[in-house]
Amino acid sequence: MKPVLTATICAFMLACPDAGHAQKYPAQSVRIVVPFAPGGATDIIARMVAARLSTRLGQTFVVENRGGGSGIPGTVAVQQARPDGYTLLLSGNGPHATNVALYEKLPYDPLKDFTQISLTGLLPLVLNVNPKAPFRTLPEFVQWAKANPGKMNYGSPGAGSPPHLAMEMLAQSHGLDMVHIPYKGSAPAITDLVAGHIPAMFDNVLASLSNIQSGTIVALGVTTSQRVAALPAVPTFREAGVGDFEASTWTLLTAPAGTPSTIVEQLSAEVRLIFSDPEIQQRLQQQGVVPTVSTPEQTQAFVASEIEKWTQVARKARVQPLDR
Amino acid sequence: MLNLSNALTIGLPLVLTPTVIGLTLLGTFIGLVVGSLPGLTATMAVAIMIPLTYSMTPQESFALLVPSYAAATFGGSVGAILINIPGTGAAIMTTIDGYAMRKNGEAGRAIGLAIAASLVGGLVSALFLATFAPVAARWALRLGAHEYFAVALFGLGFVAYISPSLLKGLLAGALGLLLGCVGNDPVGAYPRFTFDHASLIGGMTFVPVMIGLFGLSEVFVALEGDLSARDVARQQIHGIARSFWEALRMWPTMIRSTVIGLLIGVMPGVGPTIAAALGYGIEKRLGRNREAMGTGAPEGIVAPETANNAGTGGELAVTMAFGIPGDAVTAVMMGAFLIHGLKPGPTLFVSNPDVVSAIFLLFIAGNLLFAVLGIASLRFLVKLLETPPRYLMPIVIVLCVVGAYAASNSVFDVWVLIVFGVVGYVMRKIDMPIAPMVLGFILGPLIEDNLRRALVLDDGWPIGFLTRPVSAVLIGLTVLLFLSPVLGRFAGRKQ
Repeated sequence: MKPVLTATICAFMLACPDAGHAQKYPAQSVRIVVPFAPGGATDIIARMVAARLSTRLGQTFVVENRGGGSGIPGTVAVQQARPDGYTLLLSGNGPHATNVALYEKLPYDPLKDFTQISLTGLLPLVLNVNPKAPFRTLPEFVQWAKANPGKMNYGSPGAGSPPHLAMEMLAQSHGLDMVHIPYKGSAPAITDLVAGHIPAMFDNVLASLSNIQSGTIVALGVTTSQRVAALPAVPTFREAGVGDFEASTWTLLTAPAGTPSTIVEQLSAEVRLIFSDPEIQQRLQQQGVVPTVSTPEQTQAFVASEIEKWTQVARKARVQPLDR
Repeated sequence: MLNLSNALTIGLPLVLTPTVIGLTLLGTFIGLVVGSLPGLTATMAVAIMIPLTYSMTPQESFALLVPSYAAATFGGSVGAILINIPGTGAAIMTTIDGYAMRKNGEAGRAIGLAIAASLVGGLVSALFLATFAPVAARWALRLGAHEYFAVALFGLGFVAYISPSLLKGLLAGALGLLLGCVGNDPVGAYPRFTFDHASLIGGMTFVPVMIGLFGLSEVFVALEGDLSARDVARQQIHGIARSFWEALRMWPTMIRSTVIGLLIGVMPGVGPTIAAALGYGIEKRLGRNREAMGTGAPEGIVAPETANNAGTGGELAVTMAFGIPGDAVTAVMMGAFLIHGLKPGPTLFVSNPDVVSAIFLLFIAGNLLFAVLGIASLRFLVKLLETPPRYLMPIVIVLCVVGAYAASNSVFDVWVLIVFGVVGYVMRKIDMPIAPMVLGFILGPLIEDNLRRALVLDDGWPIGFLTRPVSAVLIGLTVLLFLSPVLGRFAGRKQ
């Protein structure tokens, strides 16, 4: 009798961890992969979300940076991870939307290989210029570029990055001929903008804010439908009279496809709760982030529409697939 | 604006609390340990500790982070001297003469020299940080793609000089440049040598390449020998005061290297490895004892170790003054600023003079503390050398693998480590120097990136390199550097 009982108990215990998992998530620490180097907007948001999730769910959420390569290596690492809710990806519209337009042989499909959890904030773009540049408003900028074809240089954090495509979009809509100067990331590009080596560039508000506030660069317009809380004096493109222009970048929390829907729903609800905290809202707005969240279904639909939108921009801007 | 007396009056009350003092000690200790272990870098030290600082006040969290940065930059030299494996990239140059001294039984003297040099470089850069941060950052801003290209080219010019054999040195440097081409090209983002592998799109990661070439290859070499044998070289330990005195007597070397370190430090993206290489290279061209360098000359330690620590203050200055991180460590540190709601940038000095003052004082404290801890552990470190290789080498292997993986949490990088371990082993067997290869690998992308950007800015005309004073002078010096062996031979023949 005894051996049978022992065996039964053993078998039960072996089966138990799984049952335990289904009941309570998280039962161990959770990795949140950020496919960028530390210090950027996505990383900052990820660290903030991770800290809140850790306190709320009683397990450590660890941010893991796997930067470089247009976010592809980091995204692939999560795509190939076990879909058990213990590996998540906090990414942005580079890896999750524009890469689809830019890489023919992209090793993942943002829609099929991932279960989206929630948006984690919009990062509006802002057109910044050097204070000594011969234009101080958006219409002046467009006029100058039109009058001097091929003379306007502009920087970007990299070929195919949203700020690059946004400028191409602007060039397309006004028939401008400008020269693209790509950098490796936002920091060196802003350095050269402050120094006046390049006269203009788009970047997200968060990365530009401290230099705008201290006057070392001048913000001409934001790419949202409404003004951004952190830059109340800066008009939108529509207000400035240069047409409709909306091109925000964004960040989202997502998981490998096949992650149990209960976990996805639970995390999505947690993220929405975290973002509803006025303190978090205020902190994000101060840094130029528009606190934006969504349900898993809304997020999936949003990603699909963004892929469509940026693919069209890239096509219109005649940006070739990079790996052809 | 920040100045010394200001910093003392506002900063001291913030820093002189038991918690902050305790955290400073802890931060220095962690930095020292992580920095000296092969594979674990200053970036990792800071990145690992950031989550611990979420709930702290800003001064508490910087008490942990800032001293660890200073200590890890020094710590790199310990591994370089004791086991010929640089703990961080910044200590690559220190392997050359440091390990040679250790083989002569002078490990204690070598570490003493490294402590003294790092301390002087670090303290001078701290004073620089306090006095000139905004000014220096503004000066650095005027440098553009042309100047960065010229600096990197100048650095490349020294590759030949840091190798005993000119031909092999150049060959290793060229291989390094080739390695630097892997990944998306910087202008068109066209993938090069990536073989459709996602992990190669961003190029090779520095850490696994470096610790493979220096660390794992050293293990492979050790495997050939008698693993149970104890170290043959009897290490002498003489008074630490003598090492300090010896280092201070090399004041011309220290001044040269400090200036180089400060200049490179304020240039975002160039980094301490290149500062150390330039310090070493210039010493080898101009130093009084240049003939002995490479065979265990004290200048071979003092020059690079002063330069890399002198760079730390400059990097912090630019990070704080313009919100532009100079390298991976300061990029991680910038995340720490933002987590605490502080915005690095021109406004930081006005809006948060207390935090800036505290950081400055913590930076000085970190520099003094790593020297004290270093001196205290000197005997122990040297004793460590008596560990037979059969115990030491497995530990090194584990550290190498952990370091390669942790650099970007990627198993692919462990394979990179193994491949470059084999490459490094072959290079050691054919007496090809490793340092030039690593330098080529760092300098290549810097050169390409800035050359191409400068050309786009000038509509394809290269004349800008000669019309801008800083870049013209640097390019002139580089040409001289390249021609000097030829000219020297020519002059010799005439006589």
